[in-house]
Amino acid sequence: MTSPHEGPQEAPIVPPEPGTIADTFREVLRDIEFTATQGVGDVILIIARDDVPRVLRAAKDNPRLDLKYLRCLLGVDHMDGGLEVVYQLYSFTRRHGVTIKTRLPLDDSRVASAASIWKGADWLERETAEMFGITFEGHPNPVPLLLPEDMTDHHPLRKDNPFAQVEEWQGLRLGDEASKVGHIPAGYESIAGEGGEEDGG
Amino acid sequence: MSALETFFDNVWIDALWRLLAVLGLMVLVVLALTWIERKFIGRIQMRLGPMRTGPFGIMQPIADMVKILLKEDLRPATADRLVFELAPFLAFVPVFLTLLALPFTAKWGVRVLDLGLLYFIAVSGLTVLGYVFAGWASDNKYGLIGALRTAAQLISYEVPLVLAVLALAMLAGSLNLLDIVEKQGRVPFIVWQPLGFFLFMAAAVSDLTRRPFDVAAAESEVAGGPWIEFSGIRWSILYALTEYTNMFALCVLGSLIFLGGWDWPLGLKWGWWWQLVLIFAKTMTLILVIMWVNGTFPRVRVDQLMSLCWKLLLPLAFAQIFLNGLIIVYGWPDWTFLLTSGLALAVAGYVVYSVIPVGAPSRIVVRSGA
Amino acid sequence: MATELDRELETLDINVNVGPQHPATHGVFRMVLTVSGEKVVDAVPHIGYMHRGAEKLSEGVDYRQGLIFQDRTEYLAQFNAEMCYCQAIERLGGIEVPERAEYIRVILAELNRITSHYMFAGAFATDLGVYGTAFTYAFREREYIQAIFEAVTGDRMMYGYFRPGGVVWDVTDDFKDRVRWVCKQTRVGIDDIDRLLTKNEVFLTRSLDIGCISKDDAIDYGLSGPMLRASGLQFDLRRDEPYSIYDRFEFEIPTGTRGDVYDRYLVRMEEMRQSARIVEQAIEQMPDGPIMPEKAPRRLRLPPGEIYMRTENPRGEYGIYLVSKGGEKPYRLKIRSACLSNLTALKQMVVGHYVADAVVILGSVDIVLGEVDR
Repeated sequence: MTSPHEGPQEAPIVPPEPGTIADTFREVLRDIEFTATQGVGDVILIIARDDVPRVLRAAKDNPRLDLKYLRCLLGVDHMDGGLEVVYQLYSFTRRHGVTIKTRLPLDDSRVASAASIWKGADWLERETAEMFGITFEGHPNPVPLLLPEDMTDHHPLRKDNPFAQVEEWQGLRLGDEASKVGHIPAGYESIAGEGGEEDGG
Repeated sequence: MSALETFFDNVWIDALWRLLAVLGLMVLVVLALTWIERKFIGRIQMRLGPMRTGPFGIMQPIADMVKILLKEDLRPATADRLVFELAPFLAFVPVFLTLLALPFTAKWGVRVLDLGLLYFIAVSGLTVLGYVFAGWASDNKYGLIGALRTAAQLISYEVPLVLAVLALAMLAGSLNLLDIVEKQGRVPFIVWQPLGFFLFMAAAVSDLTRRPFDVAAAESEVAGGPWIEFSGIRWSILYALTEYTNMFALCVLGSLIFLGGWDWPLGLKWGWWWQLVLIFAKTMTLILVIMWVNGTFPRVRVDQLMSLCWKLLLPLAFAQIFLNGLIIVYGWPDWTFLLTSGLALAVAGYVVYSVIPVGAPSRIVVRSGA
Repeated sequence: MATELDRELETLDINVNVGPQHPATHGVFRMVLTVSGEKVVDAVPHIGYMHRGAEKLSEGVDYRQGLIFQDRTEYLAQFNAEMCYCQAIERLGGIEVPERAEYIRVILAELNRITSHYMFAGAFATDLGVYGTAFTYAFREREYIQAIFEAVTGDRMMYGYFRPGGVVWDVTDDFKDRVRWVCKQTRVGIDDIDRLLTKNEVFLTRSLDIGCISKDDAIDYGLSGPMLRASGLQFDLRRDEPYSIYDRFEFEIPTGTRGDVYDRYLVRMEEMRQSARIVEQAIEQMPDGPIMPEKAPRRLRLPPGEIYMRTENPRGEYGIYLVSKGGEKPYRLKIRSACLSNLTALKQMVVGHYVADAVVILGSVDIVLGEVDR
């Protein structure tokens, strides 16, 4: 049975080297607070939720940034830390990219929609909305994308849904009965009771 | 002169046994073509085709027939009963009737009519009704759309077919199929009328709704076809039987009027067995060409199908008639037929190639620069 | 075009439902077309029929187990998906992959690209109405490559062969010879299909200027891969953001000009040839050696951090956004699906064309529903 022996740890904030796109952002949008960290490969900028429409619009339209390509848009559930929306952007002309993140409080998970800025954000936001329960304000067609149309109240990728730990879920479901011999099919006695202790392919 | 011969001299008995003979021939042909198509198309697609039902899959048509006969006879409850049941027959019977005017050897055909060619074209045009009946009676929106599209296709392509055949009749001076074949004793008409032959084959492929003109079947992807609600023996009559018999009839006609039929070469001299060999060999060649095209080409879109007919084939057919008329009226020698028709065909080919940019593949830029 | 006749006649736009049981081979996908006569005026794609929760399931298993979900997501180009996943873990964890394993990975990934594009060629030709000739040609060529995959991994489809750090076991002894032979054979196969389709007049009339999308629109929608390159942008992750050992190989990036269906087909055909070129170079350079790092940990734990790893899959940019908070299981694994982003542009490409073209355009996007829905 594998269990995290330490709690979830956050990555440390490593300020990026000077001259990266973080500086360009700070110069272009002087009045917005950016927390910049150097991730593995890309610079990560953390902004406040209310700054999102301005930052994204400037990212696309400003010729020094020219981030016209929205690569990825996703949500992350940080449990007590709130929900997070991550935008991964890239510019073909300037050959630079950036990750922009913003945190939303759990009880007020709204953020401005980027669908009016990039056409590709439409479906990506629909999926993030249905999986996490985030409301994208100004989205033209906020219906579920992958889930059934009537499943608007269940958000599967939230951490409080039981699939987060498969074995724990199985334990929850089967409970004490999992340890009863009678539930182990004949012929499987030799491997019954072994958890994920072995390594190997 | 025994009673037997007198018996067979009776017009009705004579007609009856010839009819039965052609019916038997048609059944054999359909079975054979089923097998040939599956093997031939299979080879084009790099596979073997039927191999298990009998040696080399020869029994496959029998297996197909048995399967189709044993299928449940379904009919939509809201379908118009009489029209629904009539439709397959209305599609098939005209095609069978066309077989009755074809002379298979110099001395044998069911009936050799003075207007044989006209009869063939006129009667084969009735199959359209069968498809429209089928689509309408199915009480299915998409069946109706498919049926109307098929009707548009078949009716449109009748026109170049008729005109090409008409041009040929001008050349031969007669609509009697026997006369036409006998006039090709020295040189088959394909040599004089290459353009006419091309038009005939194109119109024939469309008449059979085969690739590249099988829009009717393609509609199954989005809008159904006229035979969407038919299953089992009804479907078999409507689709398989009609198509193969039609293919056979059109190819026999094509080999009679363009390839010299049972006469060229040396048909009349060597007797009826050589004539049979010739006519079946030529028919099979045309059939195999049609199947070859079936396995190779994608299908055209409905609007492209229509523009091909009305903008390309029809003007060419008129041109062919006009040229034939010129040559006949002014009494120019025979080789001018070849000259004008061949030139017209070359011009048509050039026009087609210039409209579709075949130089397109050079559009891709392949380089590794930064 | 509103003519007088249109205004007098009352016409009805009908809804044509394409799918989810699709006669063309693309999987469970539903497209509702609103048709006015023959022309499509609206197209609404419905997806999600194959959603299996790969992202959520990945959170419940550890990093090595999570590899299997990548196979089942992108089930026509599995090695490329596995490569992306393994690279994401390796970059985040600072794991170094031995040379031999890198070469094996690149060879298998590029061969997989060839098989995936063969699949495209066969299915696309079938959408256009070729009776099956291109399909059987393509699948015969695929079988030669599948035989190699089966010999190396034991599987024909869900390989599960890559591991974070390398590959699970070494290749067979005759691997080099077989791969060399397959590269030569594949060029013959590509030429066969080329001869059948590329200059065929009917093929040209059905695919030229159909489903055009401009370069700016393509970037805005987030298209990637052959779709983006066909629209004129020469961008390939293997060259512009190289991962693994792609910077050691010489290959060219075919780029189209018009962004129509024909250009996409040509781009993919040419990509197959370039992939064969990469494999030939790789097989010559492949060294001997270990295939997993020597100090491979018994339990793979990644330091906390995030990474967005992207690779050039046959369908486009396949990305994995991995959030790790320490521990053996990913905290969040987001799969950036190339096909999903490519599909967002479907409505714009289809509207204004005929119904028969809608199927052709969908075929040219080359979707894999497992990747779209995950």
